[in-house]
Amino acid sequence: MCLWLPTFELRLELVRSPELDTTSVALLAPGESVRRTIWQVSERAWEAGVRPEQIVSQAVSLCPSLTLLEPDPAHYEATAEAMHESLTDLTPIVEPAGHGRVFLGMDGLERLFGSPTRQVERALRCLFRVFPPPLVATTRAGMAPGKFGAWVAATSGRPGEPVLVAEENLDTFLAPCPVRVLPVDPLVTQRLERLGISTLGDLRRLPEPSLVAQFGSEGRAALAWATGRRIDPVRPRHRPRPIRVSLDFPTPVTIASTLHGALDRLVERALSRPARRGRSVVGVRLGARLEGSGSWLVEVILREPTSDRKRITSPLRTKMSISPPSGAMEALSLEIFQFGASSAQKSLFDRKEEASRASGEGDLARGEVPPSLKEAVKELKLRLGHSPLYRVVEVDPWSRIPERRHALLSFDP
Amino acid sequence: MKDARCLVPLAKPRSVDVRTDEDGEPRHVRFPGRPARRVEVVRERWRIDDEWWRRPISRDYRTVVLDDGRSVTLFHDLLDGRWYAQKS
Repeated sequence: MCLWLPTFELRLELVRSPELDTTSVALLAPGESVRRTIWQVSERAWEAGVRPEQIVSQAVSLCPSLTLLEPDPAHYEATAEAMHESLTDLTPIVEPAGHGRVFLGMDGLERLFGSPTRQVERALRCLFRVFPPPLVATTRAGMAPGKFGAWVAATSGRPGEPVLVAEENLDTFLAPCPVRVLPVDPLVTQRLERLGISTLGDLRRLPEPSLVAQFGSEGRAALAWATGRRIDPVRPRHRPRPIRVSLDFPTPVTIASTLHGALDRLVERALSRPARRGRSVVGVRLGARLEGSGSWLVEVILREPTSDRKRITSPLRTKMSISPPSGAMEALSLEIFQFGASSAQKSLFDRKEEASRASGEGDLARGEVPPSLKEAVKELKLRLGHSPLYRVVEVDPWSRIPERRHALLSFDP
Repeated sequence: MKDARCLVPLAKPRSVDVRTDEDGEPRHVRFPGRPARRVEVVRERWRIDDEWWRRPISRDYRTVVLDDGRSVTLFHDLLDGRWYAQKS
């Protein structure tokens, strides 16, 4: 089952400020400091021509009465968390998919909750515990085998009218759906549309080898989804208990050096918690309560698990400078939400690869690139703009001229 | 090596200063930024004339041992008259 609340974040804002419900409202995109853009727009703003990703000046010129709202990511996250918690009463298999979308694994629950229609009703009833009725009323629900089918069902339905697709009907249900619903690179769907393949029915008439030749593995996956052959199961989220620490400032703070000092202290405190022992840090979230109202939140997934304070604070400081809070901070909080193994430093080539290299059957030689190396190259490319790694290739190994024998070729897996 | 999209040949010749004797044999070699080294012995010598159909190559190679014990491959480019060191 898929439950979807379109423009989830904007709707949460409208729940907080109901007086804005009938006006033109737009939510600003988070994480930008100079060139602000629009993230989500209300129906009225949409009618006036305001669209997501427009820059603010353009949006305001199109709709002078537009009300712009600063995002409150901490509030959205807390509400989404409450929603997921309430849904675990229905099924333990809850997979959040972000921005008001959640998948529920309902296999084997028919005898407990009854027909699929009853199951959807039960799920919506769970949402009433978190959201006011008008918000629940906008929820779209879809039920089908696999996540893709359920998502397409949810998007094709209307609020309050769940779309239920039985396994035997999945094929016929998917056929008229546009190729844009496929969870593949948008460039793939754009190319398909340019080629006149606009629906999943059109797509499935194509031979698999041709699709693979044109689009690689994405072509194969697209065909599998389009034919209903690929059924992705719902994967329950695994959430280790996070470690949270916070610091209240006696007076609101804007000075960077003070914030950096507070951040260092928070990281020290979080790392020294007994609950953290034996585990390294992978994901960390830094949030703040801002003066007046509003909040600020940045999230960092570390390149590699670590327990080193500097390695944790450094990316957080960078994020802080890239997307600074819009006001003075009253309180700063830190949450370690993802943990790694205690031995933090992994080698670039793991033992298996070392063993295979020693036996002359290296993965690289076979054209297989270990994921750790791929990740390392990705990081280096982000930092330098190009891959600084090269591999030696034979050009003309028996040439009499030494510089003709071997060459370096960019290693960019 | 900024533009990483093309092949970068390995063992490209590096220009060196070579002082020769009256027979044209190398006596002193100086790599850029390094002090000159005396050639102790010429161990091997061969000649390559190749690729006459596109960009002709005509080189007189020597493997020499320097006074610090290093073995270096040098060649005298017979077309431009300069000396180069090369990893062979």
